[in-house]
Amino acid sequence: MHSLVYDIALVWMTVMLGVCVLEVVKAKSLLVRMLALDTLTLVLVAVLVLYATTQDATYFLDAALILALVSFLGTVVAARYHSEGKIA
Amino acid sequence: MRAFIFDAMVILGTVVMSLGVFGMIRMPDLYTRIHAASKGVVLGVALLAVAGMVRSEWPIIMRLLLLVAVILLATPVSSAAIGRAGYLQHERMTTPGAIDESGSHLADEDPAWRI
Repeated sequence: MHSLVYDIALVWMTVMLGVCVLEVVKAKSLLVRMLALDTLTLVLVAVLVLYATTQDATYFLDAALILALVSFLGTVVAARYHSEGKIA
Repeated sequence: MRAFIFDAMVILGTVVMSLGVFGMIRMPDLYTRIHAASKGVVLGVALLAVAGMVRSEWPIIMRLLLLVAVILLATPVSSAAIGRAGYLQHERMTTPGAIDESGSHLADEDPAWRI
């Protein structure tokens, strides 16, 4: 299915990806940068979900799942290392 | 009917997610930015997954359920880790009228409306 809503939503999500990249570059503190990277990954997961469900392709959903897991692990490790100097 | 529900869910999810991203770039403070990003974007992704579940077959539905469960479990943990790191690094609260109830005096001053 190829509807107008799908096209507009995909373009708008790409704009939001650009906004998140701009926030990653321009952030004043390191923790805001980590938060912007986390949000960037979630928006990317949303793009993958929308594309996979409209194209009936399951492998994009596997990629989205792994991307969400890796983003979670990276954010937690970076935040703990930044605050305490050690990870575990 | 299913196409109509799909379109409505996609519009709703995109609007909620753009509200989350807008709050993430416009809020004045680290803590309020976490508050905007961790709720709005996750709810947007969940609504888009519901939109995908409406018009798909069983393999895609099961993968979407797993993805939503993982995101709903993972994002509060990572947001709490970022907020805890900011608190331990003494990141200031610059929101007008903010109160630090933990006693570390991270907010600027006592607001006038405190009882």
